[in-house]
Amino acid sequence: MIAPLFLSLAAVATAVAGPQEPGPDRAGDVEAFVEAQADWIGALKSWAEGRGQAPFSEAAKLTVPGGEPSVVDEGTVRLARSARDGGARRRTDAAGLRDALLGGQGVHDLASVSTKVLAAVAADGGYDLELRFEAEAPTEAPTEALAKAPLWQAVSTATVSLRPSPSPAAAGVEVEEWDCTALSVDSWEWASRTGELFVERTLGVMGPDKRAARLLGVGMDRWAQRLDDPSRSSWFGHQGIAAGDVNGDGRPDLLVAMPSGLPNMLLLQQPDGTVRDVAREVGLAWLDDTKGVLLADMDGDGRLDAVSSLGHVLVVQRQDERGRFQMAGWGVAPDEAPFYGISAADVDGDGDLDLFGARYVSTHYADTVPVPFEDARNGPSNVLFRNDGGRLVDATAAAGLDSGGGRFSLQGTFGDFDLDGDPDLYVVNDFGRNQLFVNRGGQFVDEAAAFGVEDQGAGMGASWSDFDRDGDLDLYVTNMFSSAGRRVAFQEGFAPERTEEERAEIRRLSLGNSLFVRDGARFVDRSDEAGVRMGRWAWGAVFADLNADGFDDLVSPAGFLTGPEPGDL
Amino acid sequence: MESGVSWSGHERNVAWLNLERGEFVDVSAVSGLDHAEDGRVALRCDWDGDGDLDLWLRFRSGPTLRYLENQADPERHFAFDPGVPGASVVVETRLGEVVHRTLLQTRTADGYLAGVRQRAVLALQPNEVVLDGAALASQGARVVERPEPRPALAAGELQPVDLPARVVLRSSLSLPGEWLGQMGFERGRAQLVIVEDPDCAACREVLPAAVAAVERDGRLGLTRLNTRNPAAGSAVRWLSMIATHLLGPGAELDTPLSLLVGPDGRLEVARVGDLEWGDLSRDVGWFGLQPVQGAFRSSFDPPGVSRWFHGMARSTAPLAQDLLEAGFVSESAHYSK
Repeated sequence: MIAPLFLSLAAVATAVAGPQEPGPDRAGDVEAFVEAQADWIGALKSWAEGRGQAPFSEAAKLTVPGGEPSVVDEGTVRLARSARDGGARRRTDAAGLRDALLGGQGVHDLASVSTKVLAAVAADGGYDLELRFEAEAPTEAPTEALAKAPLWQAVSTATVSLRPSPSPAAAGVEVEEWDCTALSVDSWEWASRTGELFVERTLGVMGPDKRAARLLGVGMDRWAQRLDDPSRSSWFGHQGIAAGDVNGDGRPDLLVAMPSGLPNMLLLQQPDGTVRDVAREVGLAWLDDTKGVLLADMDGDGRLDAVSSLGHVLVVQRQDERGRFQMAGWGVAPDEAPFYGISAADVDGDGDLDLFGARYVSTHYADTVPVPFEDARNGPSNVLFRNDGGRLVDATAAAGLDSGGGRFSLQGTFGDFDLDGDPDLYVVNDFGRNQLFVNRGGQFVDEAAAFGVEDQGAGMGASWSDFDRDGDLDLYVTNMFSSAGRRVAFQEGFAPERTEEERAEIRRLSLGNSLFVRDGARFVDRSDEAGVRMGRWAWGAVFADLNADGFDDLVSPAGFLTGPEPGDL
Repeated sequence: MESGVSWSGHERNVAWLNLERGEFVDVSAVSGLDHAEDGRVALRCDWDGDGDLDLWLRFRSGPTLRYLENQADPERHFAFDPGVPGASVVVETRLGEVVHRTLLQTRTADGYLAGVRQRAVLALQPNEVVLDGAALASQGARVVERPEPRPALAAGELQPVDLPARVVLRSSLSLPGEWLGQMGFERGRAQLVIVEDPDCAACREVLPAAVAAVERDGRLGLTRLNTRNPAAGSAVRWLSMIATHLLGPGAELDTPLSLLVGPDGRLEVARVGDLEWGDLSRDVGWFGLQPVQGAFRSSFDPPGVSRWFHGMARSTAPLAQDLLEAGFVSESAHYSK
């Protein structure tokens, strides 16, 4: 059996809806219509790229956002975004429409454009399609002037109204010709740069350690053909990293988890910035499938210790005065479902760090089926281990963290969001509502619903930050984004046998990432206004100040099991 | 995946810059962070100590680790290093007429599968002033000037290595005596079984030298099975089925397929393609190990270098089921035990 995780969200949406009768507003009809418009959308894309004729007539109503765009010019980086509410929309001509599609900055030269149909809604006998455009400077500039121009990209969304062509057709004859009667650019954003934001130096950092470079240069697809790994842990790439100054020389080092059969690595940063793997010398080179890893001072001696999730066991190794990691203790989960994300905090206020481990599925993916798919409670339990003088004691139930059932959790992230001095915990669940456990004197109470952060998407990770610099913590949660899921699940006739609440829960699964802004007593979902929904099949997004202006930005890793060929946005 | 299977299409990583008004702008392409491989983990830390946040990224496919060095290099940054995770500090700064109250917290984990160091960093803009710095200093926080830059390391990503499909079984697999007989196995002597095809160019290229080396070395018995030989058909099929289980459906089973059987009749190593003698000779070295040393071996390092915590043996149940369904073994036979 294929695990539900593997299904695309469109397939999931169709599966949960059950078979549907043909007729207006049915998902199958809309998908067929979208499919049939591939040539027209392709023509629109070509026109936006500066090739070919516009696939709409002069009669089409063309509009773009009005109002004042937001602009930030930082020298090497220039950012612009159309007015948040679109301002007073204004009519335009084809040239003005193309300009807005390409980021509103007057770039009318060649562009490389990709499109995606985000939604399709039946309207006035036809359909309105919501399209996403991603445009960027051509990969190979055809002229010297273009080669020297700043690198740029633009993202825009547009609504296209397609209506039956008024060409003569006998009553009862199926309409096959469609006209674009209106095309509206709903929003656009633009970014350009003249200098580098980041330079990849993995080769330079890893170069001297040929063995480590060889181990890490090979993707998991290739390793999967070389590892004796019955649970296929290497296929899915859930191997973490942890940074910390292990040897106290002022430079951070990196602990790297590896799949079953390959040794974990401790990359010790040298004075010149290169690294050397010393895991074998110091006792950290476990061969077991390892997902979450931490570097934290578990015994309070001032040296960083290591925590490794080796299957269903959290292994704590204390760093001794010679820099060797000695076995200090381990915490065993109640069954063999492995730990994924792990984190540490002093939850009971006794001065040492306790450990929380999130658990997802059993050893073999396909052995565990979440039920119900959109609000599962039958997953493995998460575990809180209290640090009792180095001994790890299961304190999950005592702390109240066993409430709500197993929701197929991938990560728990501590953060003192209520600023009362103790760590609270946000748990991200793939097949269920997320949980915000508020720490009340060592007792955790799930108050996610009250704070507005249940975020019932397919949750993967979460990051806390005061990104707006107003003195409190905000929260970013990664989920899956699926344009196919959006198209299908948002049809009026979708899953009629389900309640409206259930349909809303299923629809949420395809929406994408969530930005929760602390606003008084609650968090408010500002994802759409902020423009940070579309993170694709997102995993471990984090806040990080990418341009060193003091304001945290976002980086969101994406992709699940994809082939080598490009072809999607 | 290598065989072309794709579950979710081609999905690039995403990055957004903060416009400071609750809005963000997609900068994935212009930042160079739109990697096409399957991204999993993003870890931020000031790796090179210059006050901006560098990124370590983890991937499933392609190179599985990337280091992205931030080029922002602020003149000054504010560092909060209380020595313990879970600490908070509110930094009040003024830039012109604007006052920001920024909350910084230290923690041990962030995002997904990312363990972060305990130091929090806030980059300061050129004219940004930290208010009440003395009070903050008492909490382990301070303003740091830009350090002397160190020589730049070479730019670039890790180079992929072309690894042929090869599995070293961490716990070797016992083969039925009947099959060992078909392969001409002599107890007490390791056996190399090669499945080859007359039309296989790789077979013509790699086998002569490997076979000559095996014969010169003398430690291994040798069985060559030709896929065109009807008499070998049954053995070729069950050997291929076993190899598929070991190498995974992502592996394109091709010839030459070689299997190394230890002197006690247990399958130790399976591989497709490349049959270089030095590599093979090292595999033969497994047999000289003590059982404890030899068990649960690494797929990469020499024996004894790394270690297992669990040492879980491979389950033969799925393999047994397939072999049963294919009629290669009966229910009372070897793999159903």
